[in-house]
Amino acid sequence: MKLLSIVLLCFGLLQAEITQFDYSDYSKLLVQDAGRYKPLDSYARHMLLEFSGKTTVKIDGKKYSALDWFNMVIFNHPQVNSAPVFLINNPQVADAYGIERKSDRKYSFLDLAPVQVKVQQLAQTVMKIDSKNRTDIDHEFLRVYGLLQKIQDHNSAFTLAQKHPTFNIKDSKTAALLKLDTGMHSYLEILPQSSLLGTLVAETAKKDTAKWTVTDSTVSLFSYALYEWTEFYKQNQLAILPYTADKEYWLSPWAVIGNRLHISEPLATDLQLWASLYRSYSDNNKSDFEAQAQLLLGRERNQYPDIRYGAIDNEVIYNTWDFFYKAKLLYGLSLFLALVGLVSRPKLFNRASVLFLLGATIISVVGIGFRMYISQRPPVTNLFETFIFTGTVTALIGLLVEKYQKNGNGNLIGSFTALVLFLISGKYSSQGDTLGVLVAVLDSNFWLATHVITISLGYAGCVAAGVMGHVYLLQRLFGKAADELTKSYKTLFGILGFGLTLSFIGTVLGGIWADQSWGRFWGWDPKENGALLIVLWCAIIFHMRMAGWIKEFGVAVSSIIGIIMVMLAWFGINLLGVGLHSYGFTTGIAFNLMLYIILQLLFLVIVIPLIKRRERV
Amino acid sequence: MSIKSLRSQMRKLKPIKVLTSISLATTCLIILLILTFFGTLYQTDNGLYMAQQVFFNSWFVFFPIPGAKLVLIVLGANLLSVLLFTLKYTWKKAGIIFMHWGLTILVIGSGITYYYAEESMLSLSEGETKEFASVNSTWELAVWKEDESNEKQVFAIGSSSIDPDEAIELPAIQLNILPLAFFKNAGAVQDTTGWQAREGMPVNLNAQKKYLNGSGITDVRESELVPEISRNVPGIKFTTNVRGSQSEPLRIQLSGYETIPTTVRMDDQVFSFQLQRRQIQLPISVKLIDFVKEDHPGISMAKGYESTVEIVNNGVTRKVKISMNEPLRVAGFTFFQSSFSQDKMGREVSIFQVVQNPGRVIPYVSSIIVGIGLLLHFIILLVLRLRKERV
Repeated sequence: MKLLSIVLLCFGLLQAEITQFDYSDYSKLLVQDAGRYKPLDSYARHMLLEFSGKTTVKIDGKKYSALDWFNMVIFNHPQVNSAPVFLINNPQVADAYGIERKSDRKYSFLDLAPVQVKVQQLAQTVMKIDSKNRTDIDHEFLRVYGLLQKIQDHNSAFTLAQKHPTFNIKDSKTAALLKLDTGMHSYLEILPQSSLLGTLVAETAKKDTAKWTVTDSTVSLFSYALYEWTEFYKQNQLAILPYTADKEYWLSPWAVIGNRLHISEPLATDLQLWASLYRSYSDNNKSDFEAQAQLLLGRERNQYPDIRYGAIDNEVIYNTWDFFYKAKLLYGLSLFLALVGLVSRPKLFNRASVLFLLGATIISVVGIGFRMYISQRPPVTNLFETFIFTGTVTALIGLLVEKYQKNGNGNLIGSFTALVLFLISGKYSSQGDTLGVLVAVLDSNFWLATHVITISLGYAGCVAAGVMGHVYLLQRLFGKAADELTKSYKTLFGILGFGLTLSFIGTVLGGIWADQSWGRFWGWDPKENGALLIVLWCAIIFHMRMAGWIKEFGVAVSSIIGIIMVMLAWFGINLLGVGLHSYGFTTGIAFNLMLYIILQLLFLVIVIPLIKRRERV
Repeated sequence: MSIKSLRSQMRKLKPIKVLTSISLATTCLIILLILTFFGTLYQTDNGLYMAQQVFFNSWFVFFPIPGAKLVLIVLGANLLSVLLFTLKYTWKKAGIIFMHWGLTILVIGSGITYYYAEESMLSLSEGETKEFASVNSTWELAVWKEDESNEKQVFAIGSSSIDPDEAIELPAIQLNILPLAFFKNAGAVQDTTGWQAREGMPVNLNAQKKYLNGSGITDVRESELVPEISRNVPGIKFTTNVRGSQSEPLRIQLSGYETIPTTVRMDDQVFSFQLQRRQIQLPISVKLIDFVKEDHPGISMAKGYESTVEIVNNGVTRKVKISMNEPLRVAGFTFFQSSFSQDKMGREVSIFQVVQNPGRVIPYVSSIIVGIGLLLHFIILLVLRLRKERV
């Protein structure tokens, strides 16, 4: 197996330069993956994200898009093996494999190929351990092995179109017999002759091997190779051809052939078109490649009209525009300007800051809109989406506050909170497809929409209130005037009320959803408990204030602690791994959560005594 | 005496003062927060059932720390007494009034659900009909007497009523039972030597000297309780005899794993015993006609699944579809599509959660009331703010 792939590798050496084609049609070709149809562009991006956490890759100093890299993989470009796409964060993994540690933690296939056996061994040992007892490094072993298999699998997707020395017809007699030219052929070119080969081999088998002619050996070699290759490659995973009439099951070209049924039109022509794409790519023939891609796209859309192509096209646009990255930049700029406005020329900088905040919010909303159109569901169905949504809402809250207060507070809390939440969301998108399909119980649009959106709005309110709490404390530390403090406090209080209201409504809606689906309104499930913690904490703040246990200062401090509550409920609960909501496990999140809590408490521990000291004077 | 003066009189009483204090409310909320926090952590290692037993459904976690049950009762009393005795019913406070009445109703409703709701499970393979659902974690000893009329009257003795050395008398069938041991979780051992068919019922001769058992089990042994409560399968050992009989009592042992009853003959009468999950009689009979599972294309993740059942309610037969998020509500019971599995013969089995909850409607009612309250509160605040600004 390994010999075969290495041999095939070497024969890609026909081309040394990577050319970037016009992918406007090619990027829209369909792949079926994880239960939905995606454009090739998304599939390529998700794959590269899975490997390296990024959607571009730098090879020998040049930057390539995910689709470029992907084509290098499936069309067997020689440089693909030096692409540093394997992101392995833990250097001990490199030690375990016996390879040199890389300072940028990015490894290429060439780095890992020599130690493939070791990679496999370690992964297989880990698989025997109960998943609950696996450590982080164990997960890495499994992950790297999986990636290695994946890249090799994709590498061989189109070996059927590659001219290969195995299928070399050396003499004209055999060539004439098989109705082909002399020279090297591809598997796909030989395949139509398989029944003819079958008959010839039957004759050859009767002869004594010492009496075999060139034709005999060629014929038996071809026959054997056809069989061997089909068996070896038919599990290939690149599902780009719809196999069943209802388009339920899509298969890779190898799998289609491997099923050994007669390949009828239009599938047969589609297969040939893909093979010619491969050849055009290898020959670096730009015009042919683009023409074939266009033809293939047209055929696909003609044959399968009931797929939502609007969503596919818009997904490519969504991918290209990268709305949330742009929004992050603008949130960051807005924050920077707001901070500058704290020390000099507040009117000017606050106005600039608000403009950037507005721009960022509009882009965020557009991005969310695209997602809703593509996935046809409300914008909060996985953790990535909740962070984006909540971040956008806090930006909106910030804009509203700024409109009424006009003192820069709104800019600060809006841009800061949105930026942080968007950055956190990045952790959850780096694993691949965030537009993925949902499990049955979550697939209920009405309750999904109402419950999750309301809870997200509640989170947004509580977090914004907590950020406002920081502003209030810092204002007290720096001795701001009483009326400014009052303004800040009133804002805090108002946002907190909003947070409590929506968290409560959201929790109740969750209970109603649970009653409709599982037969009980409340079950002390960890996520339910998390939401309850937030509601209780907010209620406690209000009641402590009413009972006179705390004043403005106490409310500010408590609202900061409220942020911790929200973070625990939001994704701390998922780390526990139990209950009906354990869907968001990510390594590194636990550490970051702990770090945040420690830093937050440190802030309080430092700032509170300082304020007390200052105000005692 | 007017309501106003009645209220002001009540307010002066010491216990009412304590009950209506905001400090009490705040303290309750804080304790509830702490319980929720630690109860959730506890759940990671010990499972939901244990967390509920220790933190949420208990009077005390350990003295003097109250469990959620006690806290909610106190909180409910606090809410109610404030609403009855101290809260000023003014227009300004309309939102607050609605909110807190709604919350009180919610707390009371949770009490009703806690004490009166019942959850059970119904699993049907295609074509199967049942009239009973099983409660997952409650067991009973079922006893019946075979007689000529073929109508059997089953006596079910709940496991909580089974105490070693406390006799159980069933005068209606003239039977006495004396439990010797009851294990909440027990393993059953089968010694396959020494089998002999006797009177149509296989009896293990080796066991005859010890305990009788219809499945050939030779020993029922106590096992350690597992945290996941529904995984505990009990065992029981008891003696039984016909009332007033001179013959020696028979010794029988049963395991919850058995699927057939143990039938014995005593004094020319035939009795059957079975240790089973508590059965709830359903008001309808349910037959599974078809179970359909739809996967997302190309993978085996369930997109949705639903069952078509035929129910007979009060003599009326009809077909109805039950799916995730769309349960069947009939005769005070609610049937939810819970999950599915495959039985030994590879047939698909649809599993329903059956819930009977008289307090079901209360959270909806209270949510609407609280929702109105919240809306009112914000509108009032807005109106007041605008009025102030106009001045």
